[in-house]
Amino acid sequence: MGLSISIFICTAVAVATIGALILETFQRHRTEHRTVEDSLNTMRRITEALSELPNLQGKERAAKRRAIAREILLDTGFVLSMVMQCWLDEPPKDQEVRERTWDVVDEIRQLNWEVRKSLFLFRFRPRLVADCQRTLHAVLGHYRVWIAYVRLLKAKYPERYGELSVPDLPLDQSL
Amino acid sequence: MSQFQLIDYIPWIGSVVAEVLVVAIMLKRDLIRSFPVFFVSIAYDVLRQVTLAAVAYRSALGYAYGFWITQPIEYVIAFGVMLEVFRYSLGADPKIPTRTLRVMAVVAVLLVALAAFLILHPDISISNLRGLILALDRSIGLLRCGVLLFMWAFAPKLGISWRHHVWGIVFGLGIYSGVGLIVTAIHATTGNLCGDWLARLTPFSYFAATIIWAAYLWRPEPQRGPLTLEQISFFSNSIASYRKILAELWRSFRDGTEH
Repeated sequence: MGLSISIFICTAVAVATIGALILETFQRHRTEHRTVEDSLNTMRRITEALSELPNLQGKERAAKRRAIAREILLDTGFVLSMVMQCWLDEPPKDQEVRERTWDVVDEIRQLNWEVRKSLFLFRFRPRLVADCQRTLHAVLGHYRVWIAYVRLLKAKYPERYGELSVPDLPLDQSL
Repeated sequence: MSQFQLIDYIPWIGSVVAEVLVVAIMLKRDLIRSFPVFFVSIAYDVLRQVTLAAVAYRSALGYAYGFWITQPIEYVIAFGVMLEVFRYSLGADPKIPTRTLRVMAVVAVLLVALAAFLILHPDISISNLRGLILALDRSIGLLRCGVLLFMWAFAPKLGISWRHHVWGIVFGLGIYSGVGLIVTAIHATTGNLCGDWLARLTPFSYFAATIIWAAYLWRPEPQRGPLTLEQISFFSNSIASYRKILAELWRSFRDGTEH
């Protein structure tokens, strides 16, 4: 019994490690070839999908929500890679830029966690998430990530983006 | 060197060649400053392989002792490499939420406890050197894989975006560690130390890892230019329209159109 348990534990950890790293490599490959244009197209697609949601039922609605969640995950990975590229290429000395960077990372961190949780619930507990509130929150969170990123750009490159006005998007129903 | 067959030389010589390439690439691209511990690990392994080859030419027993005596140093350096890539990816001013830090601490304690449990409850006797080496090797392999898995799992919570070169290091190390753990887990239950076909998987996985490292470090980090003003203005306009759409959707879902 002891023999089988130890082999099982070690093999499970090893297979999980190899599997996770290979999956992540494929995921990274998609993010690496992504452009800002792709992101803007993603926003368009998400908005269209969102406006279709109330007219869809059952499996179609579930599939649309999953598609939105996956698009968001892919796009936030892309934004995070851009933010980290800025950070590591030229570590910010200015306090505002540091704070803005952490704002974006915080938004992404929270959103990723929520979206992954939603994907899990969509798959295993779909009844708990039938009301689409999570999807709406995720989409709002996605735009908040982009707003935070544009604010970071404004702080980092004031001469280039200083004149831009960035709208706010509260994460509640007071829209 | 009659104890080795042709198939043993392929990963052995191949990994040394790939490691020399990695060293050359790191020197050429000035990557040593970013990853000094990784550079040390590669340089150490090149020296080790060359020295072991010279020892093996004279004595098979000397090679076996040499291999196992130098192995713990490799483990220590490998953990150093993991720490290095983790710190590099976190950035100069890491900001880890307390809750995440707590979960990380609990998972780390569980991992160490599991590794210790496997040493304290081995599948074969550890009263002799062979058994002790196998049990220790398995636990260290488990720790190494566990730490890599743990880093991958916590990356989204820590806001880590693995850049190209760092990911190459993590990916290569993960493949080598994963295959190594499976092999040591089987060896630690059967009592075999080496000599079977399974033992050859580890050098081949290391050879694969060295190729991955050379390939990832060879390619420069992908660069992206800043957003154009047109892109940002498109984005700002989009937000205004999204606000309207989202407000309508909130209302429609709240009014009970959801199912």
